[in-house]
Amino acid sequence: MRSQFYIPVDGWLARVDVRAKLFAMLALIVICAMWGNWIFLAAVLVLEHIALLSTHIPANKTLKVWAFFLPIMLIVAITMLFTVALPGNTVWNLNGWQVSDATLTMTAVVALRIADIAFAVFLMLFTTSRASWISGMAGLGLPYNACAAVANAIQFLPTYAATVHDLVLTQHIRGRYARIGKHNPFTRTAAWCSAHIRAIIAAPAHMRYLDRSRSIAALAHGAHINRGSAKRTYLHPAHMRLFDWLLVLLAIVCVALVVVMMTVLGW
Amino acid sequence: MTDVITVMSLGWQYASTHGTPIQALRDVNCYVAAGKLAGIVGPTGSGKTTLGQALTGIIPHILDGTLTGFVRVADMNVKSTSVSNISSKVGYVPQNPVDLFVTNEVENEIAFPLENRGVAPDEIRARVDEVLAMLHIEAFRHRDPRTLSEGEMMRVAIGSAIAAEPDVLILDEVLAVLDENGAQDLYNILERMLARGAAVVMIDLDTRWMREHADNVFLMVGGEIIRSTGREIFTREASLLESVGVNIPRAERAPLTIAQLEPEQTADAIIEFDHVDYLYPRSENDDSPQLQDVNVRIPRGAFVGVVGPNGSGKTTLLTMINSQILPSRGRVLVDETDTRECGVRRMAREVAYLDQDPLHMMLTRNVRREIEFAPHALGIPSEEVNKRVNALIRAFNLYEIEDSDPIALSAGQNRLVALAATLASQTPILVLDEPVAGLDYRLKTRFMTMVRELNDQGITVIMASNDSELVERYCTHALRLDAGRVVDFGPLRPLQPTAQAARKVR
Repeated sequence: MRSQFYIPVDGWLARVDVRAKLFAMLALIVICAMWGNWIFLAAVLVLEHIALLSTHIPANKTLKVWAFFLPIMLIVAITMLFTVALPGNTVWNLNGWQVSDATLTMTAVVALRIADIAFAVFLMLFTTSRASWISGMAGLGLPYNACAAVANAIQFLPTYAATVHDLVLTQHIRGRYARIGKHNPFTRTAAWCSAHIRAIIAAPAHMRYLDRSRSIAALAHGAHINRGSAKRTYLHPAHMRLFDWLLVLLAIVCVALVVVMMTVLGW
Repeated sequence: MTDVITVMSLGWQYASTHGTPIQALRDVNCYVAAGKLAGIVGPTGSGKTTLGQALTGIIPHILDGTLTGFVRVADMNVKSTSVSNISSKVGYVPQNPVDLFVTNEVENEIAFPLENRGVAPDEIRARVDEVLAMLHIEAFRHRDPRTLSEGEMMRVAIGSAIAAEPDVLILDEVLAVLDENGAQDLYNILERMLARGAAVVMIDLDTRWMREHADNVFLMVGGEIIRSTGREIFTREASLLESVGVNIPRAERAPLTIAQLEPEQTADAIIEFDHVDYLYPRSENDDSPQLQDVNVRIPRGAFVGVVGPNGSGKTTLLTMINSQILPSRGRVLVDETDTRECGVRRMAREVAYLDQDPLHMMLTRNVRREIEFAPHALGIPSEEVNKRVNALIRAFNLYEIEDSDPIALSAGQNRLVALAATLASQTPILVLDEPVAGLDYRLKTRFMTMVRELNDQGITVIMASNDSELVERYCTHALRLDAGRVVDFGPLRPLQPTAQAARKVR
């Protein structure tokens, strides 16, 4: 839990109720998955970046998301260009390998969809703290223990990454690869791989130990206390404001509009 | 007056995965009345923490082992009441809170026990404000507790334990990491709690406050209570206490007298901080710099004690020496090499580093292998490694746990293993972050004597400590930090020319 996706900055999206944000995110994912219009998908991507900027998410965090998903998008796009052959006007013809305008459009749609869905998820993850996740899910009627388990599961990847990072650092501090010089790229790469592999293997045991320590602490602070008929409370209980309702309404309208455009107008 | 804590014939045997189970408590009897302060003192590994855990229900409900006897706390039979239900009346501050925070924000951590009790949000907010103010941690309200200094983390842990106004408060070695202001805040809180009729159990090796305020003192040795008296034990049986490792400070601690450093004394500097600033990444912390314009030259062969209040930047300064963090501005030179050019990996040849949380430094599942780890990694011949490891095992009396898994050891034993593992590498620079916090006086003296011997052989030592007495006794220089700035740096006593020459051997 030392590391999390959440970025503690004071932005408008961080203040939106988790339930409204979750609904909007799911709506966005659904319409991106449904409507294969590349102009719409590109517009969504631009809007997502505007949202990230306006809610004060540091640019390096956005770039990290791109750094992870861009290679995936490229691999998918290249694979599609080689394997999918849709009828249409030929755009490229190279020694028998033809790419039609329809294939190119479909490739762009799939790549944009990946980016749109990834950024929709990260908009949610970057702007929602663990406490907000818990109070938001409690607002949906889930018991605290389930909320805490889901919130911990959401933070699993950053926690795992932080544990691996710490273990690599500890190996370096303790001198495991101290004798490897800085001028030989092969030995340096081997040392880097070795340190990371060892850390990746050791990380689950460390995380289990930390989880156990934290669950003991939670119990010692009354996580399973007998309250009788009283309900657990929250320092900042989830609360839907007018803006949150408007966001939900906007999400519903957007989904409805997409359905209308697809079915009635045939776009 | 009725007893809120009744312990009768308590025995506890830890289940062991390595053969013989460990008998941690033997026939323990103690009684504490409401509104009274009970002090539990004793050497490292005497069972103090185990007894504290038995009062919270962690023993027998969570840890594996066999409990005999009877424990009753705040009208609850510990054997038949769950840990969470015991917590409705018992607050507990563990020895090392870093891995024990349940939430990611200080205010949520303090609110957590109140939320579990179903207290109304407005009341929670009011109580959180009150606790933050009592402990002077309002500025950290929205910070992740794990990003704070150890002393600040301890304040948060105390805040979380007292938030629900428990009838019984158990404090396990909290003074070891608190600075003077933090300790004073804690004393004020304890006075208020005792006045409203709560019982406080203070497990600590720092006996300053206990000496004047404890109503009951229990001296533990080898899992048994060998004395159960009042605070007069500190005057009447001082020699007994000292013989088992409980230090009794004779007088109030005088502030360190740091002399002016002459330029020629730093001509041969092994570490140089050249106008260093350090600003934590924005996502983790607020925007205030952790270190500001640190400009210090540490002479080769010095033994520098880094002192200052909690959160003044001691750990940040130390972690810069072996490149764990790099300056936001300025540069750090270690033996004339810029730490930016030499990462942590290669810096390990020059610097042995001991973290304030020893468990985070463990890389193997065996104590002996842990101590051998660094010298082996640094390419020291096996014969020499064995010689060093055997000497350290002998010095710290680690024979019994030589083949144990460090994770299964007590906090004190863990610290000893980490100390031995750090000393084994004998690099030219030794960086120690609160190395002896929570260790009894005898072990503290043994460790510090070994460090001083290494220092006499020419090894430069930089040690952060809240214990000014320790710094005064063992260090040659002191560096005082306050709010990230160096307030004082210089020798604690004039260095003799011959000693200076000896320190330049390496």
